[in-house]
Parts: sequence; C-alpha cells; structure tokens
Amino acid sequence: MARTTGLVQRIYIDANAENACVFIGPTPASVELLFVPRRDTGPVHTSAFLTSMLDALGQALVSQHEVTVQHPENDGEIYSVELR
Amino acid sequence: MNWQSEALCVFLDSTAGTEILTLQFLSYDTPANTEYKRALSKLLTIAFCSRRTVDVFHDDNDARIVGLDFTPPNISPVGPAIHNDFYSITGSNIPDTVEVVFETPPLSVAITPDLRRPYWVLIEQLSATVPAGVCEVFLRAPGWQSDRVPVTVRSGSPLTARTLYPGRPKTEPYTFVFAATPAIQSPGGGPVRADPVLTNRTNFHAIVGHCLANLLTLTESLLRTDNFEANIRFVAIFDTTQGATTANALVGQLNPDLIETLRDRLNGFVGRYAENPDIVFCITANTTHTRPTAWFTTDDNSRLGVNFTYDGVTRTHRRFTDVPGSAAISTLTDTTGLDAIHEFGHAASDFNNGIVIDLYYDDFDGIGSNFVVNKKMRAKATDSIPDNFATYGGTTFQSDQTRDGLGYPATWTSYHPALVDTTRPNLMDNYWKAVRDIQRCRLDGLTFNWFADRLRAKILR
Repeated sequence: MARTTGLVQRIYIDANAENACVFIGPTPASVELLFVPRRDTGPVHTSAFLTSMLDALGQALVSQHEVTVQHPENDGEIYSVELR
Repeated sequence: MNWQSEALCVFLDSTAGTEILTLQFLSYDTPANTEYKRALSKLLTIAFCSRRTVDVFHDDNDARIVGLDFTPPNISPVGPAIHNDFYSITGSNIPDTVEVVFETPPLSVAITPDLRRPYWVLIEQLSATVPAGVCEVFLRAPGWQSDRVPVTVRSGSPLTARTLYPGRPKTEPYTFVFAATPAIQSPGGGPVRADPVLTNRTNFHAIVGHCLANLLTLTESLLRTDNFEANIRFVAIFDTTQGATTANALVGQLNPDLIETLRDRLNGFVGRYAENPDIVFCITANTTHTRPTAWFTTDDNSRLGVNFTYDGVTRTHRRFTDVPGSAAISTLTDTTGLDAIHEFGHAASDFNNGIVIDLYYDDFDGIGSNFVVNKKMRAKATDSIPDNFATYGGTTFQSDQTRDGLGYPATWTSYHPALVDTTRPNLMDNYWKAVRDIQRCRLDGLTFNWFADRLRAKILR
C-alpha cells in the first residue's frame, strides 16, 4: 500500500478515457500521476463513491488543501482519499 | 451555469468569445454514464465557484460536453491564505528577486517573501495589509511573472499544523518538522511547566524562517545537493490547545544554560498531527536556558539502506527512521550564526551508522562505542597528525593539519578531516571564531560527502 501526500495540481476527465487522471505533487512541475477509475459495470453505489472521491479532489484542487491518497504499491488507482 | 429540464448549460468565456455547451442527463443513459455526467457537473461547478480556468472537451460541431481538464497554473499556493499565518507558494525556476502580489483590481498589494527558493517562497506571517476576500495571487520579478491563481484571503485563527512545503510526492517523504514545545522540563527530570513559546506566535514564525534560511541559503550547500531541498517536506506545528504535560514537554533544561530535546516523546507528539518525522526542531522561548543542542537520529535498521565503506568497514545509510533526529532551538537564538545548520549536522547523523560531533572539544565523552564520522584521536598529543584522515567510499580524505587558524591546542589528541574552506572554521567547530563572515563556514570534505550520500539514501528513497 502506497500513500501520496501533496497538492492536487490538475484533474483531467474525458468520456473516451477509462479513468479520471489526478496529478498530485508539491509543484505543478513535480507530480505523481494517479487516477480514479470509471466503472461501467458494477453496483451503482460504487460509481457514486468514486464520484464522491473525485469531487473531494476537485475541491482540494481549488482550495489548495493537501490530500493524502492511497493506492497500490505499483499502481496508480486511487482507492482512498484523505482531506486534512 | 444553468440547470434546467434535466440539462446543464455552461456558458464558457474564452478569447474567442462565449460558447454555450451542454450536459444532458438522459433517460436511456447507463448508470455509469449518469454517474460520469454527475462527476462532470460537480467539477464544472467547482471550477465556476472558484473562478478557475478549465478546458472543456466536446466533439467538433457538437455542444455536448464530454470531458474537462483543470489545466494547472505554473504556481501552486500551499494551503489557505490566513492573516498572520505562514503562506507559501510553490513553482519552478522562481527568480530570487520575486515578490508575491495579491490583486483585486484596482487594489494590488505586493509582499516581499521572507524566504525565496527556486521551488518555493515563504511569507512568515501573511500581513493584514492584504485585504480579506477573493483576489488573485501571482509572483512577479523584473522581466518575469507567473500565472495568476484565484484565492480567498481570510482573517481568523492560523492553522495548528501548517505544511510549509509538501515535499516529494512519494510514500513517506523525508519530513522536517518545526514544533513549538508546549512545555519544558526542569533539569534532572524535574517538574514540567508551560513553555512561553506558545504565547508569541510571531517569534515562532520568525525563528522557523531563520532556520530555513540557515539550512537552505547559506554557503554550505549540503541541502542544495541533487535538489535535496525540493524533495523535503517541511511542516510547522504551533498548537495553543496543548497543555503543560509530560508528553508535551519536548525540551528539557540542562544546566547551566543548555536546552535538549526529549527525543523519546517526539514521535508521539508529532504523530498526533499525522506526520512521520525524520527531523524535528523543537522551538522553545525559555529565557534562562537558550543554548541549543541536538540528538542524533536512530535509524530503522530493520529496513533497507545503502551500504558504504569507511576505513574498510561496511556500514549502511538507512533510508527510514525509528526515532527522529532532533534539535532544541531557542527563539532567542543569535541569528547571525549557524546554530540551525550546525545542529542539523548532529541531528541528521545516526547513533548506529555514523555520528557527526562537535570539533571544539577534544574528547569522546559520552560517545561510547558509537562510530564517529568526523573526529579521530591520536595516542598522544605529541604524535603527528596523519596525512590521511580516512577512506570513504574508496576515496581517501586528508586530515586538517592546522585546524584552520584556530590551531589545535598543544594538549589535544583529536584531529579532523581537511576543510573545504581553509579560511574559516569547520561548521561543526566553533564557527563563532571565524575572523569574518561566520555564515560562510562549511563542513569538511569527508563529512560533506558522507552526509550527501546519507541524505540521498533518505530524501530520494
């Protein structure tokens, strides 16, 4: 389990992409690329939960709040978001 | 933005004029598509309310929105803008003449940062001359200006734990914490009482700014090596809600006038603020005991590291920490000196894998069997100082034969590695005896190289 802490510098979301890309780091030029997945199948509540995380990351971006996200060690899929 | 008849209309202003784009919630959308459109509408709302510029994607000749990109400006404020709190902005290649400008036309307020680095600037306390409310902030220097970022400046209580610079975006970045100690312990494990540092936030902010300048901007370039400073996480903790308890006494008095960190309490205290520190500078405002000291790190020897050889013996620069290195620093510190970076020189070394000690006394009192990086002893004071001090990483480093102008006292048996700057005392020696420009003192070559490798193993882990 990996944790990345920093400022949300950019969010990119596109209907043709499988994921919403989230760029986290101390400066706009020093970032880790992580993502919130889109789930075309599966329970509705899971999709709603992912949307909720994306909403939180968007709020953190514009308010300059640090976030800590968790993702697998060698994978960028975000499964947890912490706002402090 | 306009919600009506299960559709969202977005009026987008660009240099080409105003575009009207739509997001329709349709009865035949799959649940996944509905959720996706909900996410898009939320992000569009966030962009609208925060006045952020975004790119909105749609097919040619089609007004239906399919995607969104918050393209980042080239600077990034760190946390909320609060009067009298720290305020920092990160970026790249920031000129060292930059000022921070807060603007709501026609009003424009320019602030000179207290610290200017290529990757960030720091204002020790955001002035109340910056009006509260919405504005844009940008950095400006002659011939250079950053992008503008919308922010909201507010009055009110500063943050208890403030990230000054976020550090490397990896798990467990190398973390350097400045903590105002809520309490101080009397000599010999005596009574604990409140430390006055929590009664004066301005002095705390000032000493943090001074320490950062001492660490990052002086002639000694250790933390600028390999862009180390751009990868260190810096945090300040000033918590007036904490009482004078034993657990909160991060500093103790040592007679006659010394202050020392009570290192076994640091992980517990700092951990309450969700930080895992490598180094903690404990700030006190005690008036009777003001002379700083430091304690070495205890590395986590159960985790990986980078091996090195010193005089043929293999040891390890461990990447992670069990007990953080620490220093007790007074708000009454003489800011014309090198106390902060000198104490860092102790704190960042390690009990088990190499300690860096003071050079202004002759013996190894209290060191025990710990491996010392930067001092050796001759059998007798009349023995000549060896030409070669030590071999580190296959390179032989010579000895300092003269102790630069200070001279070795006739009774001393200790000797040191050769200096980088032979015109000034070693940073770990009595730098106050420099004839001029105290703050230009440097480490010796061996200690610098050893430290660079150690910090590389830790900061770039």
